Amino acid sequence: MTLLAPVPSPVLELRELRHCWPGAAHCALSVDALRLQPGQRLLLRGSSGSGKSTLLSIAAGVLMPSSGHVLLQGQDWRGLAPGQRDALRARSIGYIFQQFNLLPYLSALDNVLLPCRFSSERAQAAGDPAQEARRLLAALDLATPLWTRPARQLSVGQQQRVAAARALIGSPALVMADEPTSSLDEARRDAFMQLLLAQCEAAGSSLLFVTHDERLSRHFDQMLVLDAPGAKEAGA
Amino acid sequence: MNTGALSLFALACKSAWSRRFGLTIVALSVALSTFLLLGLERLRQDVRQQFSQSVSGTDLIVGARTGSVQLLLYSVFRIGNATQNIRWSSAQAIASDPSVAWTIPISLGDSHRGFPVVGTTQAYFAHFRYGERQGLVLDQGRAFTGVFDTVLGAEVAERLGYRLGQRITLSHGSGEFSANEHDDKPFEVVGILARTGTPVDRSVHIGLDGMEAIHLDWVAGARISGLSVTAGQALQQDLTPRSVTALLVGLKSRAAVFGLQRSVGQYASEPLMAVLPGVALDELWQAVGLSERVLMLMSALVAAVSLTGLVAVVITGLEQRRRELAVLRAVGASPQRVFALLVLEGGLLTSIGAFLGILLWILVIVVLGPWLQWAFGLELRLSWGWPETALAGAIFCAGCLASVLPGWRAYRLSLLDGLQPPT
Repeated sequence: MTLLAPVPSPVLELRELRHCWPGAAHCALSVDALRLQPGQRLLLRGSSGSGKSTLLSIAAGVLMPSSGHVLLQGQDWRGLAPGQRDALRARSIGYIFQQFNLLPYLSALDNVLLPCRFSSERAQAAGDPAQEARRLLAALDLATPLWTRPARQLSVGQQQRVAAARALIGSPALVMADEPTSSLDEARRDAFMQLLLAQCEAAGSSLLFVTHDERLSRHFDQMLVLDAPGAKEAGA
Repeated sequence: MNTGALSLFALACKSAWSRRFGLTIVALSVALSTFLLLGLERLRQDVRQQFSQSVSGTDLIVGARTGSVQLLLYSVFRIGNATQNIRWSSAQAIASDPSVAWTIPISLGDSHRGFPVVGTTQAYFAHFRYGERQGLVLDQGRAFTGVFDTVLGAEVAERLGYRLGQRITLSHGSGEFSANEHDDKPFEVVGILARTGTPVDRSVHIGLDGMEAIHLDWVAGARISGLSVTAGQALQQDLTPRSVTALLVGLKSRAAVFGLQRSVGQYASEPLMAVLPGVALDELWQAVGLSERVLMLMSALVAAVSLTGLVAVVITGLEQRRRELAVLRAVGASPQRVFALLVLEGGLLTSIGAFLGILLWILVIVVLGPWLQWAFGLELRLSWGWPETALAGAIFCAGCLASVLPGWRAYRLSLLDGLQPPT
């Protein structure tokens, strides 16, 4: 097989992925092929129990699948030592949880700076991390007086925006978000989506977004619907 | 490179501060056990020092044949009673031995409001030594000269608020029964000794003639009914003592000590014994030392219990912190970092606890020291040496070691949970 033009290596690639929990009758997760190119956005949909969270853990290299390959920026998680996995994750992935994203005892600013604490590459990519953290918080529409407040004093919507800023600092190759809008009302959800998408684009980060909300699909290039036990890939 | 981000240490501090209420209790319990350990160690050292310094410069203690520890107990510490006395003639015979420089006769058996009365001679003030061969110093007044003169130890005077010129009544025996008062022959306080930190402070000193005088109308521990000798009449009588309880002996040359010890042991007219104070003190300390070691063991156990509390609190808190650990993992902290964070937290807690314990220890010695001296005769010195450093270091190390357990648990949890802690 010859390549006609140099194709950039995908940010995330899954091949023949199967994951079965020990003792379970059916595999919890099965994805034949998936490629997420730099800057692309992928929507991951599925009912609860369809293995979305498992897929995120596998993609983030926290969990090793029963079989198949998962490559982040061309590197197979399986081929890396645990320490290397931690380093690659810290460098290349920004992660947004469904809720409780922040360390409640740190200020919003210190929360945003956390990835720079654990990855010097992220800190380097951010330039001046403190400056970049402020820029991101401003870009994500968080009022200045809130920046130095302990995270526990912020509203849920504000916390999610701080979490987005933290995921985006140092422009990681991939931002993973696990239903970050599920605890927001409709108006806030749309605003959050707009801000997140704009900032991902600005940072050049790919986005892997998990939701059960079909209405969000218009924002994405690709969609992966998980249905236990198999999965189908569909273009958007 | 300064990333502007927090160090792991700062992160541990902030995290601990956010849970300060529970952790304060833990730090306080560590503080208390540190205080207990240091306090007991200080007590042990100071008691031992005071103990071993309660007599010095005396080469032999002579008494009726008994155990050497018992002889030491009643002659030096004024604890317990002698079963037999020694005849005054025997005491004089020993005093006239050519190798003997001086003797201090000690006659016991009476008390004043719980303090032992010591019948002795002027030699007591001239030759008795304690500590680093320090002699007795009169704080006020003079040594006794008259039959009914008394010189008080510092603690007796301070506790009972006695001043020079005051008249006091002695009691027969330990003074439980008021019928046993020698109330017909009061003594006048003529001198008060400076504090020594030894049993001398708790003694009421009178002359051997005074001791004899108050017992003229007594036989076998009871007043002879119908016979009463007034103080004035007593002075007319022969007040040469018939016996004394013990004899402290100083030699011209220490080389003679074993020779004299042997000859006292072989004394023909009555069974006597002579002991070397240093040897008897060591023997006694071995007996007392056991309880001292038990105390140390107890405080070590208290320290272990408080460190177990630390582990329990931190581990229990961990269940609620699985979220926090997952967030740390998501921002790139390795499980090793999570482990380090927990050990840091434990180390920090123990350090704060130990530091507070040391502060408390200093405070207690400085503030309560004078009171302890007054109430218990314990002289606590504020000094920091190797034993204290070792104890504080041991607590810190044990705390860090104990924190490995929660650290390991956190490590396991962060591997298990990954980015999906149970909510």
